[in-house]
Amino acid sequence: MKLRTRLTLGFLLLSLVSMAAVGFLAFKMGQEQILNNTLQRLDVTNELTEDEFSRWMTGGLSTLESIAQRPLVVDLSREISVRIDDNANEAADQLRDVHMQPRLQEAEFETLFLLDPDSGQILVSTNMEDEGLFREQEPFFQQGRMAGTIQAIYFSLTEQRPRMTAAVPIKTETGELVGVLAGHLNLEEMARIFSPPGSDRQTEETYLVNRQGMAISELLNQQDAVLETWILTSGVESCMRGDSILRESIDYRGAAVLGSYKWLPEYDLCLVTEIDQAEALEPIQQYRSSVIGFGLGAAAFFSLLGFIYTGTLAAPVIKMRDVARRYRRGELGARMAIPSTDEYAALAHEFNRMAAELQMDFDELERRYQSLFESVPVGLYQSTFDGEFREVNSTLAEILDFENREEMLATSAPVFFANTSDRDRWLEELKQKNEVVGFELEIKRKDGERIWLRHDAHLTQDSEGNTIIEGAVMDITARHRIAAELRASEARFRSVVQNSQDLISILDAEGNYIYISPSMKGIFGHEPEELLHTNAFALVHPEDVAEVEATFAELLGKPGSTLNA
Amino acid sequence: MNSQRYSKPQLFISQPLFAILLVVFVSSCALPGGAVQELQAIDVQLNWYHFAPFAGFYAADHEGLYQDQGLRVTFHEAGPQDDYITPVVEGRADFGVALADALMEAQAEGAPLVAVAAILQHSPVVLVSKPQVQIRTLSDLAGKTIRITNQTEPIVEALLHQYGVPMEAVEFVNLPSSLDEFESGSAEVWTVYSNSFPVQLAQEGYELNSLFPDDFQVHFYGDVLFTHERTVEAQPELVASFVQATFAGYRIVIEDEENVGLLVTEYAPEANSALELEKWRGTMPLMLPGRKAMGWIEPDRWEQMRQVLARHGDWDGAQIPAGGFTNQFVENGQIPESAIR
Repeated sequence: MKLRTRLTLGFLLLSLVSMAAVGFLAFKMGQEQILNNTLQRLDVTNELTEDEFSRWMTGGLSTLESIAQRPLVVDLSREISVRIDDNANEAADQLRDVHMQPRLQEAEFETLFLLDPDSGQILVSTNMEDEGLFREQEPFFQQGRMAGTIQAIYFSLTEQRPRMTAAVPIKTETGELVGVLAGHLNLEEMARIFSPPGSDRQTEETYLVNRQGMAISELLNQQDAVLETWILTSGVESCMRGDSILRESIDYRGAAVLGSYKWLPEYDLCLVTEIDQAEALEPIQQYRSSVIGFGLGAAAFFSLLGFIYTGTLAAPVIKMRDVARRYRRGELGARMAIPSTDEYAALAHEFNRMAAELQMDFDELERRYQSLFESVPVGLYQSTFDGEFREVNSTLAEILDFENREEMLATSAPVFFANTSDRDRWLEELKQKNEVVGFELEIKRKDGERIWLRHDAHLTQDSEGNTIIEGAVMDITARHRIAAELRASEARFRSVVQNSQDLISILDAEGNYIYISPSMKGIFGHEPEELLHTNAFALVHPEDVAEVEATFAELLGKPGSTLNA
Repeated sequence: MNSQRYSKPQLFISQPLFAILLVVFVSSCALPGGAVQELQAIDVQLNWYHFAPFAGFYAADHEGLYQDQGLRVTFHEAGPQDDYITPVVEGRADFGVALADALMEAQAEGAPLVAVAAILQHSPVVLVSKPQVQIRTLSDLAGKTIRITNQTEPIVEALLHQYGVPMEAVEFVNLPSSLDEFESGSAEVWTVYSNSFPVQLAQEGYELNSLFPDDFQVHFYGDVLFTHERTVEAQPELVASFVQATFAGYRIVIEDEENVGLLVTEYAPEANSALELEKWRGTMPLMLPGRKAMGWIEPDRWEQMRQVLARHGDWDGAQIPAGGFTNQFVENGQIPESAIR
């Protein structure tokens, strides 16, 4: 892998790791911030809802108290409850028509009614069908006898519907309890208070749960939930316990939610505001996407910077590589630029020094090579298979009667072969063996003279991978001539010896026959072959053996001499 | 309510619950030696035929809540003439369901029984009549023919006594719950269970005037769950397990009322599921507690009821023992931990 690629990938990796670490920290901080904001918003919603709910409740109580404190209402109630005269019915009508019925127009209450403070019987009601019924066991009556109270939503068995009822005592100036004024609050107003916040928070809802865990306000995801749906969740349970309030819970649908839970002891209710975690944490998902996107973008940017920067780092190296390639091509004169004083410059300087020393060594080798090439008494050449000369030395040019090397380089090898078949045979052998040694052939020199050359050649490859022929030739014309002359002389000697009547023999140092001329047969009657390798002194008369051996020894002591005996 | 929650007749077994039950089942099968956990057989004597007001029992049984408590429950129905108290007294049943006044009567007669939870916080007894009869208050009953049953008689007598309507001013007749009888007008006022016959009447299109005892200072509990005194003393854990599982079953059916009809038909195949659903809807309001937990018995109300019966009952009221109930098995205003999601 290239240095620049490696460095760029390193930058990329470093950027990714850095961005991942920074992004993770940023994400966690952002997540916590968003979570806190969401929970704070839920708390605020819960508190606002509580305020509104309390205002509605206390508003209802205030309305009842304002009615109950009217002197005329007190008097009428006293008349009705104690039935002090026959005008009780008239008093009831007046209370109902003048003091109760008009208040219903404000839609704060559905029904207003007066209860007997002792029996709990409904004495007067805007719903006249209720008159005569008893509510003595209802908490709103029992507590309403003493002070203003509101009974949170309960199921009215006789009315077969949920109710929320406020009640206040009606007392005379002397403190005598003459009635309990009660009213069923209009639950539509409560439904408005607990209506969903809006489309921007689709899953957020606020609702009330009583101590038994039953919903007493409508739910966003369940119809007719009031007093028909259990909210038995860990959030509500912790709310009722009143200890550490959970913030993350599973709601009545089984969905994971974030919540704000507040126990309202005055109403014995748990106020819940929840939102699906999926929706609440959606900004976190978006934030995470942003962080990831930014991180990847930053990593890409830094990688680009790294790519550019590593380019500046890699450039001197690339230049060194180019110069090194020139060295490889033999351009030892090439030098690296040294534009600065950094490590690259020091390395380039060392490269240049090394190149200079190599140049000197190469020049010396070149000089020695040229000297050897030119002075060697052997003709040397390089040629292609086609016979094109790449190089010849002066010796070869001289052998082939050229004025100089340059003149010979302009020719081609085939023209020198006296016999074309010789070249073909030679080339074939060379291709097969890669080397031909001692090949003797007859050559035509430039001047047309035929000479004999001993030709040693082998195949090799040039710097570009082409197969070329390197060869050495020696002029053996003289040796050929001497050999021919020797062969003629020998033929002549052999004719003299073979035809001579004298016995001519050749002995080794031991006196054994090595050669015996044919005249042996005529002289001694022996075939020459019979006596070969036998001792010549055996044919000498015993009396003369000693003398002959002495003469033979003397002759051995004087090589090249001739003795006559 | 969430009617889409269950689309198949598997009733209350949702997939997660099925998975949990499967794990529990597999775990139980994997006990050493391959032994299956032995369940304690429990007999429950109901005070009526299988019908919707008992849906909490059915749900607890169907959902394996009893089994989770180590119990295998068998329900026994009772007809209008059957004695549903004695089986518990004699130990043939471990628990029984009875109207509170019927239980008090048995206690007055010396039955060693204890109410352990009030399933119906209010008596289901209601006096219904056609609008043209013009019954708007108790005093309007004078001179009328009133249909009663053995079960409704005590509370009706208490009402009349409470408001000074002499018994001789009305005529009592004992009639079966028959639409034809109601239409015939042989009785002008009918004492019925609000979660039963009036549902049929409403389905037939009758408009009814209703008098609720609670509106007239007669606050009787309805069905109560009771057991033998020795069971409370000797096996309080058993009682607690059974009570809590039962009310867990009732919480389920309150939330998933749409399935009550189908659930009832599992125990009463001949039942009309739609009618049973309406009966359940008539029952559920009777169950809702005030500020206490489901099943809670308010001592003052119990005592008041005892005193009312002592004054007006056919038996010697002085024999009705004080107490006769306990709340020790009912979570007082607290949500049972087992019910928390």
